[in-house]
Amino acid sequence: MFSETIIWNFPGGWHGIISLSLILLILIALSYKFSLKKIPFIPAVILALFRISMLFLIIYCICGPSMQRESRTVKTKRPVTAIVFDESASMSMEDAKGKTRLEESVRNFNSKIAPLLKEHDLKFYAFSSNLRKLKSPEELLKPRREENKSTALYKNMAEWIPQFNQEGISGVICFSDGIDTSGWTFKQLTDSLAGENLTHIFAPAVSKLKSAESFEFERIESPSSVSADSLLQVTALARYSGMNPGDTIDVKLRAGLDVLYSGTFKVGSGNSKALNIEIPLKEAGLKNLELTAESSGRKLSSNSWSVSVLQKNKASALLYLGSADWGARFLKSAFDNSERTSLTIRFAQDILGYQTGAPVKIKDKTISAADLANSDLLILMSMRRHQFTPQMEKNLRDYVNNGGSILFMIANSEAAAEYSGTPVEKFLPVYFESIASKEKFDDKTQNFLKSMERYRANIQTGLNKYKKDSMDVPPLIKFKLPDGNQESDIFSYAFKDGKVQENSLPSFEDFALINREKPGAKILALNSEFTGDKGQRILLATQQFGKGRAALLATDSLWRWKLSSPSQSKDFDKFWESLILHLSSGKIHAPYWKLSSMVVQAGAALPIRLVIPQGQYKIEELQTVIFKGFDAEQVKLKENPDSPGEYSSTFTPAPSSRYTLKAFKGTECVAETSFSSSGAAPQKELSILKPDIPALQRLANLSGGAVLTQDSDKSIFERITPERKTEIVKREERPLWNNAWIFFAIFGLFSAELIIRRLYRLL
Amino acid sequence: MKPCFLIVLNIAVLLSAALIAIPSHTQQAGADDTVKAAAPFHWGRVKFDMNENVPDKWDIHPWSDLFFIKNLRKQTNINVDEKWHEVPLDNIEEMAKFPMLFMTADGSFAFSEKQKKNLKEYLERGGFLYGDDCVFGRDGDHFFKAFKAQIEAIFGQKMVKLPNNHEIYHCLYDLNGAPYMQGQNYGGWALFIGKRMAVFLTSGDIHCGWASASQIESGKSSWFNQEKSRQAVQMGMNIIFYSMTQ
Repeated sequence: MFSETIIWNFPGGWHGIISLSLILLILIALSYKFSLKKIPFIPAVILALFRISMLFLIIYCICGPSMQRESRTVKTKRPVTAIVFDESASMSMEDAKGKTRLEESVRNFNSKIAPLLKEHDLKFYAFSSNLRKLKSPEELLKPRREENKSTALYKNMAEWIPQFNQEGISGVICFSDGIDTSGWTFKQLTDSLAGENLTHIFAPAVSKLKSAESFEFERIESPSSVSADSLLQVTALARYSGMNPGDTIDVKLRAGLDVLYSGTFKVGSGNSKALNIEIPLKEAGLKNLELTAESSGRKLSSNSWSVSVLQKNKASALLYLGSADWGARFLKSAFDNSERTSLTIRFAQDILGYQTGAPVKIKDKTISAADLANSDLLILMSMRRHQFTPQMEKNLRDYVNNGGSILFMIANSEAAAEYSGTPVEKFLPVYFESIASKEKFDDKTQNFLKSMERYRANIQTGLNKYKKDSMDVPPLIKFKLPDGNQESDIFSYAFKDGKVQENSLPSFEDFALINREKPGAKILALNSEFTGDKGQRILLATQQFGKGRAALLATDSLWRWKLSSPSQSKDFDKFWESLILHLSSGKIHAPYWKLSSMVVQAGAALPIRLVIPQGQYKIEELQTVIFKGFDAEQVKLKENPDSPGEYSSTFTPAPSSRYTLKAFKGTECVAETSFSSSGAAPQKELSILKPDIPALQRLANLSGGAVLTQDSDKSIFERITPERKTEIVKREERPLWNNAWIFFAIFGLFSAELIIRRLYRLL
Repeated sequence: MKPCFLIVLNIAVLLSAALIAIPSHTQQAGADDTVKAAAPFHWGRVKFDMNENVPDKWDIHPWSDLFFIKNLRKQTNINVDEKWHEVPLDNIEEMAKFPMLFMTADGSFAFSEKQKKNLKEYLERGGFLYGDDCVFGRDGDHFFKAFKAQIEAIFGQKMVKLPNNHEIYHCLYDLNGAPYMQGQNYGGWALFIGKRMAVFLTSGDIHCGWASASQIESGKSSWFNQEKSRQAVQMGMNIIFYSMTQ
């Protein structure tokens, strides 16, 4: 199907052409009426016609007409679906009838699912520790697999999702019992995916197998160093089996005799539980921590490690401005008034845009590697999408992964929508809303978007430039705290006697529309007046990203709130100080050890890393040693080429032992941490056999997929059947004016006129 | 050729030239059609009463403010409303809509107690005030002296003269101190609240420099030469950028 249009361009458009034509016609008529030598009427008319024709052809060429042809073709495409089978040891154990879960899965696929996927191209895979390709599911049936193969479901998903996306696979059907024994957590999966996604449908393998009672903290993630006056975040993964649903497990985190955290959870239908513990650590020093689990007074598990709490200087923030914004002035003032935070301002090179004019000296104020290394928090304000280069995006990811935190501020739905689906959005805790079609929003939001668009665009024309009466600025909108998150330390200044003082909460003029938060993100503030599909619009959200944090503030810099508040009010200053302190606690300015878990498996090679922040020590100056009791062994570290400043090695711990890692400069210990190893590695695959359906449900929810049940309808597979038609639009443009006949016609007419003029002795 | 024909011919040529000068219908007018990341700010001219009966009062030459704003928008992407607003100092809520205020006149003045209180409150909240002495054929420092005295009385501290190497003279354009059009050349003076510059005052009639630049652009005879007029506009842009980002 195609369409053709003629496009042209002339100064003044139609008015210009008509006006010029009239003027030329008048000129031609007058030139012949007032000519000094009279010629007969008919030759005069012919001459005039030649002149008119020639001039019209010239006007035609000036218009530059061209034929634009647009053709559209629709292509259909078969969806490609990956069928993935879990072939780990738990799937290969025989039940009472001599059948395995893997055989059950293959049978279910062939009899129930394959007939529903006739219009799909299928690719087959199997995984246990790693993913492998299959020609057909029948490969899995013979010969029988080894029984002690472990299951790395989360780790493999983190790898196969980006791989399948790249291959153009539209969805995954995964047959698994949901048991993961690799030690990976759900949070690790979401962090490493960083926004990448693919719809999954899980077909659980649920045949009953008997497992023995066991409980352990399979994994404990904790930083080895934190700053004083910050929150220590500990994530522990408890794995259990053979326990009765409803049994209560008491978990305590102690530092010596002090109980820093106490909580309970009930054994549910799954076989794992992830615990997120946040405890404030105020004083500097080495803290020896112990995490215990008990049930009915019986100790089930105990693990210990240490955390160095370091004295912190001022939290330093770096404000990077993409556009000149009055917010910078007010923020700088707030930081100048703070004893605990400091602010440096830097400008993007094109902060003043690309218009001609200002000789920009901004190159002296752009961000340097030293600026970034010395900053705990990077604030990106009023930045347009085109201001991020691929190198900048990479630097930002590395900065956050190494403990730096980012606060991304954007107050403008149009500018925010530019980031949707981009690498920048990947390390933010939210997804931005597309505003291409405003009709999907409620009337209030539509009106707001339209009015702010006009307000920002400043379309000011007309005679009334000297407006002497009061003008309208947009009214300020208040923050609202989410229910259940009233105790955030950021807004503690606004609380009195346990109640929030609404007047103390921030106000803003403009905000960006957020679609939704990402899995694992924490919402800290909402819009009090505007709602979306999921309730009040998100204004402030944070998420752990590597060792650092990414936060988004979807409002302006709140300077109008400051200017509208009495000068005695310190709410603006306190809000910013609290926010900066909250976000900047991740970065450590001293060397620190990095372990993936504070519980390590005996007999397994453990990667250990020493991170030396830029400007601190050189590795050659340090001696790195691992202690077990009084026995010491030197650890030789090599620099990681992908992560400058990070030095690593491996170590294989003995069972049931406690180790201390230290780095010395001379006799001074500059970095220290301790950890413990588990007992002899159990046959984990065979001890935890209860299918983890809740885990499969969480994984399905992450991707907008589902877990198949007895009652599932075949329409469930529409979630992995994308729009198969693609429309290809081809445009061609062909100029209509640069034809030889036009030039010959002009030349011919001009020559004919000259000949006739000569005949009548006008030349 | 007959004279009337020549006249008609001239008119026709001029009309054609005018048509060509109209922007093409396929192009968008102006350079303001890009998405602005920052919200606009509004230009406020302070309204106040004079002690002297002078021709150039608080609202002198609003078109030169507009010319300056137009240049600011043309040469940078700073989002500023292209309107001129009067701001009385009797209403702190009105004042709080403007992150900066501009004040100029030729002649001395005095604030009322309420105006002093509001101005102090406005500046302590973070607002910025720029004052420039407008000069009309006299020794030209009545406004400067009155402004300086009033501000120093409000805050109980002296304004300081800025050295020529101060950031405000170099943040965008390099200027050798505050440009001087006419009147007294006292340079640029500032009042700081903490580390923040709250008030900036010039004596050299920079505002009329903007007016002169406007006259030059429209081909009329100007009050000052091109170099001085250009420096006046550059100084204005420096002031805006410095006060926004420091």
